[in-house]
Amino acid sequence: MSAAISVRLLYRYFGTIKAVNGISFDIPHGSVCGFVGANGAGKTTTMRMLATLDYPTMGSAEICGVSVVNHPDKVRSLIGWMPDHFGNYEHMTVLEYLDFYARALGYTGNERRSRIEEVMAFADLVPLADRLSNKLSKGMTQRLCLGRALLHDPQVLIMDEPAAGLDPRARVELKHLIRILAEEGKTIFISSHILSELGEMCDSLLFINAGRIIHHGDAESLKHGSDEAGGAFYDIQVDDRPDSVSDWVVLNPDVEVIESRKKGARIRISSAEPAKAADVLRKMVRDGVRVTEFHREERNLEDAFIDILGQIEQGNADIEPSGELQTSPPQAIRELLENTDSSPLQSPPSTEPEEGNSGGTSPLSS
Amino acid sequence: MAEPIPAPDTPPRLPPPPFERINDFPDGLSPMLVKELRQGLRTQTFVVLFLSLQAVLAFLLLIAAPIADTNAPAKAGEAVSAIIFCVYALGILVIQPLRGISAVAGEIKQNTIDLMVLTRLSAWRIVSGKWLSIMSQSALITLAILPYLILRYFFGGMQLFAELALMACLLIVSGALTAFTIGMSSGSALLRGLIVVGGSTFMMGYVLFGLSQQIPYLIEVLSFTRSDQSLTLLAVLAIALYACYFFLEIGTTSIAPASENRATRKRLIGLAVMVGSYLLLHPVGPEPALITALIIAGCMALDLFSEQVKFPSVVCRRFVRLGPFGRVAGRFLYPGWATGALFFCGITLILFLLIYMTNPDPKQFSYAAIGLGTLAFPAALLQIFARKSSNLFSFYSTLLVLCFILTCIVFTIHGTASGSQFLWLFSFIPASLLPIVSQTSPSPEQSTALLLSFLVPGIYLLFLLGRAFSHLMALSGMESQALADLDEKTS
Repeated sequence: MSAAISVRLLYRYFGTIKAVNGISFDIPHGSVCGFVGANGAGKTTTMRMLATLDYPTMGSAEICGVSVVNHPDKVRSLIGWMPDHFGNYEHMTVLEYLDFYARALGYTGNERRSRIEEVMAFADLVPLADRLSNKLSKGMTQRLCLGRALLHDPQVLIMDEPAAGLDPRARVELKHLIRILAEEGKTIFISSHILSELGEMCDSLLFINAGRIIHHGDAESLKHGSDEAGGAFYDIQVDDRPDSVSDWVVLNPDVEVIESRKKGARIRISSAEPAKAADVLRKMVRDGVRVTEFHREERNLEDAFIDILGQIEQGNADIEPSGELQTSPPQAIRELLENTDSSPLQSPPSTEPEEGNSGGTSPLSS
Repeated sequence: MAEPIPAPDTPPRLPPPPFERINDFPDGLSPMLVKELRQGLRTQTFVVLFLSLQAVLAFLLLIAAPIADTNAPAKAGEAVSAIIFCVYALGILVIQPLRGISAVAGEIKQNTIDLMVLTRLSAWRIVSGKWLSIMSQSALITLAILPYLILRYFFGGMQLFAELALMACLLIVSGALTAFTIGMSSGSALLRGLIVVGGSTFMMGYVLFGLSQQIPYLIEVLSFTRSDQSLTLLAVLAIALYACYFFLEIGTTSIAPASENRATRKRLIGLAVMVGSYLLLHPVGPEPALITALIIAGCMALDLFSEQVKFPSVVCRRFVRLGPFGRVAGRFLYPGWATGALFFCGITLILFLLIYMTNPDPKQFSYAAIGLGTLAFPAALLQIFARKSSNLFSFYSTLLVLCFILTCIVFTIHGTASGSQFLWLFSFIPASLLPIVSQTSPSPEQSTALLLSFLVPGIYLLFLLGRAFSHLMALSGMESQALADLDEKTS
């Protein structure tokens, strides 16, 4: 069975700016995947393309096997989209807000009412039914937006920074709702700056930097270390000069000092295999380092992200686990770039526009 | 001390959620209309306007009634009519249309347009829903004012049918103005500011000092006693309806996906209305027919010269299916200012042909060339100074308004100064040649002006076609791509 979200060599260039630069990844059905990256890394652009709100310059993206480029209308019925920021309407209550979107999605009569009732109950919006939608707190607004995104019961939820600006309680509530949705079998693709939260609720994490995927793996391997994540981290304490660890490391290329500490150092061993750690310890002791403590450290996700970025900068990491990324754009892209003026490339979606609602993005909103 | 109240066995019954309220509008209505009505009927602008009109009109009738008893009741009735129409016109020709000025811009600014695009609402339904909502409220105001107009019947001297028809006509014009503000609401903040300040001042001035004087004449026209007046009225209504459609299309285009070709329909409908209204009005006189055709050409030019030139190849599919004929038609009807310039040349030829068939007077040709050249001049400026702008529409509209203002200033100065040397200085704006071309007695100066009136627009059109050439050449590649996609789809 195809993945819920499948992206292959996706590019999005705005003039000469490479917002998304040939990314590929798969997200299986029913999983929660965190999308992590600095501001301007390409998260929102990628998500907008998946939500059919923007065209890729080149490459393909599929939601449940349906191409976002060729069949945007079908994709729209499969996804729920929560943007990073949006405004609510004036003079409109929460109930009317949901009713408008339910009508716009084509629900009528009792079905409309039951869909609204269902999402209001799920997102705990019933007490807010009569409140004006533009007078809600940030947390309530995000619940309302989640309710709106769930009105048509989508299989895939794409959430761009849903926790941004939320207070701790609202974050916990949102996390709880996301976990329930995941348990119901929905695929959730969520971006956030708060990595610790993503680590708790995501089955996998996707790191993006400068438009390229720099890591895709589960949160556990990032915390405990893995060969793909650059090895494992250990805290060493010695009954000697703290520098003795650094002196020893110089002669051992498989080991690197990450941080010198009061009684020793924090080191990284290039392989996460326990046998390798045992070898390193044995060698240290044999070489006369007076080790008193040696234990594997769990990294927080921020450190993991920074480490991976550091490795990228040093040029000693595979940028994409799948190995499908090309270091320079394909010839076709280069030709396109040479032939364009300065405006964003409008890649031709090969879909036939349908009466009433056709594919692609609005020119002003992109 | 009172005994504590024992806790109830069951929690207190909460009021049921107000789900029934979502059935306040039937399912058959457009979701956009329902949303806009729910919001619009709660806005202060509507409520205050509605109540103020009632208060002013009730007060007016209370004052007028005793006067009518003592003095000439018919005179008092006419005065009451004039005041009712002025107050009504201020409401639906000034205040109501202005409510549309942030319709599309507001959705874009709030980032709510994306959320709507992801539903089944098309861009046309979004924009037309906004227009319908404001128009529904205008209709509500009209209905609320009707009783006062009927009461005025008792003063005597009232032509009931004509006055009701005038009310309906004002409502149609209000529809066109509302469509105009909604269409322009996707433009730049500067353009919207100009419309709010300049447009409302102009309309308010017209209502207070122009319309109030014209009411007896308008009522006479609406009595449908003279065929030429009836034809003029029909043409004006046709233009108003076309303006409604055109400006709603402008708003729609600004939010529609690039794969949705809205240009072809817009151009063909515009051309049909232009030809139709010219032929309809020609029996009234060549000037009204030409002016009407030029107004419609002006509307079309707003769009033709300002469409973004890039569009996906999917747009070409319907044309390439028709073979060589489709490809030739595509050069005139694909979206983008490049094909728009070619289409504008087509409009020019068709208008000349119409003049040739109906009234082949050199002055008529000259007037047409001056009008079309004045529309082409800002487009040429745009291609020189702002070719890569992402908002060509705002640029073109602003330049066109500035040209209009400059021409008015030139005419004013020419009216106060003697001689026409001053006009030659501004002959780069073809409209400034009008006073010389329209001189009744032939003169060498007029001959030169006639020549220039063809030469200057011709240069502008040639320049635009030159600029468009590379884009027109690139269409072949897109058509090949569309053909390849079609072959792939078939196989």
